[in-house]
Amino acid sequence: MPSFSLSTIQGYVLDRLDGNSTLYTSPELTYVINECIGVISLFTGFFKNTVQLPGFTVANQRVYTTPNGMLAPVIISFEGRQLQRISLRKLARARKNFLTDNTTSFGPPDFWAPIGIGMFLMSPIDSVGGHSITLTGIGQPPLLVNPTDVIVLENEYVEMITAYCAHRLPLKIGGKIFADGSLELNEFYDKLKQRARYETWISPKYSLLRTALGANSMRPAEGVAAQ
Amino acid sequence: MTSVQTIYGQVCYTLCEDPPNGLTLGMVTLQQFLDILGVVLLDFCQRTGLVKTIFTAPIKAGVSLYQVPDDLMKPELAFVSGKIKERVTEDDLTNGHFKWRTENGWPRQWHEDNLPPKYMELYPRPSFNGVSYPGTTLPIGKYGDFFPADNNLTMIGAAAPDITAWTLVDSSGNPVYLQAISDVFTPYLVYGILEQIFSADGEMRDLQRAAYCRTRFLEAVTLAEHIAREDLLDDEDE
Repeated sequence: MPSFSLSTIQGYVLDRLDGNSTLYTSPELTYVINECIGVISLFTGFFKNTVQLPGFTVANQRVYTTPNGMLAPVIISFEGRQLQRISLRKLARARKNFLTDNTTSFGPPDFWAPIGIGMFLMSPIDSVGGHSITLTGIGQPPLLVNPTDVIVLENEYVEMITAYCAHRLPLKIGGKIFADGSLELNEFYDKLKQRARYETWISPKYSLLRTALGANSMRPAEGVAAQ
Repeated sequence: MTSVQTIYGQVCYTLCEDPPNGLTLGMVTLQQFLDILGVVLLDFCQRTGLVKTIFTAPIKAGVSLYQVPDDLMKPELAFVSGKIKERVTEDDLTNGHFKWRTENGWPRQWHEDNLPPKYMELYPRPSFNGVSYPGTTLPIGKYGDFFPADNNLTMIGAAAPDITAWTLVDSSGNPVYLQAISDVFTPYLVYGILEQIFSADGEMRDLQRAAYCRTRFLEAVTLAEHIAREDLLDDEDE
């Protein structure tokens, strides 16, 4: 897969902005490029991450914190066995003693329940500890800081980034120049939509993508473009 | 983690000011920025509830009203001794149990309507004392777990920002970071702040840009709601 350095992407963006590096400074470009990668990641979930945590569980610990670099875990495996995801409310109703049932009496964990995006628990609770778990989900995309920092992206994403930046950076000017950028925004959302469909197709487990793909999340941006 | 300084820098860029020098033109002041940041952050946390807080408060015999701590926006789930309790309304209680206010026993339900802000009430009124926790200033309790053996009340809800009066750096001169929000959402806070600046009555008023920024802020809210819905999974479990 092609990789692009920050300076290369900045060059593509400046090409769309008449090469005006005085008005659009390098730190500004860097911030908006990172912002765009984050937006694409949120909409499409393209930056999936798997975190393996050997010896992660602690004996009788109920609540675990989602590790750094993971925005929203979708799949959790305990010792290589995938757990079934359930809401905390449903788990609490289905298993009245879910906070005290442990693996000694009830066998290995078979459910996990997210508590927001920052915490989760497994049921039954591991009474031994030291077991490995694997989390797969939507990760935090890498932050580009130095001009030589590289990100691995498909070409299509780079086009999306340049379209986004070409529309977003003139926000500081306002007026007609900024309004004209709404065409770039339309281009960005069109590509984003196509990409989100593709990502949903290759990763159907990520139901987040199915919902984010819905018309509702696209509507506000189209509203802006129409102004 | 994103610092307040980073958000400030982006706002400066968009207002055509130089971030190293800060807001010097006088159209928007640093204090205005910090005030708006607090409002926008609170609004975002309230609307999305992506990050949750678990708080366990000691139960006192004969006391049915319990205070929700300030850093928990709104209780969504309640547990007593680690067992989930049904959320109802005062109407449900009145219609279902004529003398509900005088009953004592093991709590089965809770409600938060028709009460002072940030309070919840258990029904029936607890007839036992849970394990007490040390502390004299409110909120007295423990964070981060359910402590089922303590026979206490655990509430789970969206986390509120841990700071209410924001500054660029703390008293030691270290950058202040945004704790209650994931990094990928922080660029959207800039849009929330800019919306307030562009829609305020003043030199910076620009309704076109205000509308755009509002739309982008709402885009973040929509995305965060999708993720939060996935996490709650109340509609459909896989």
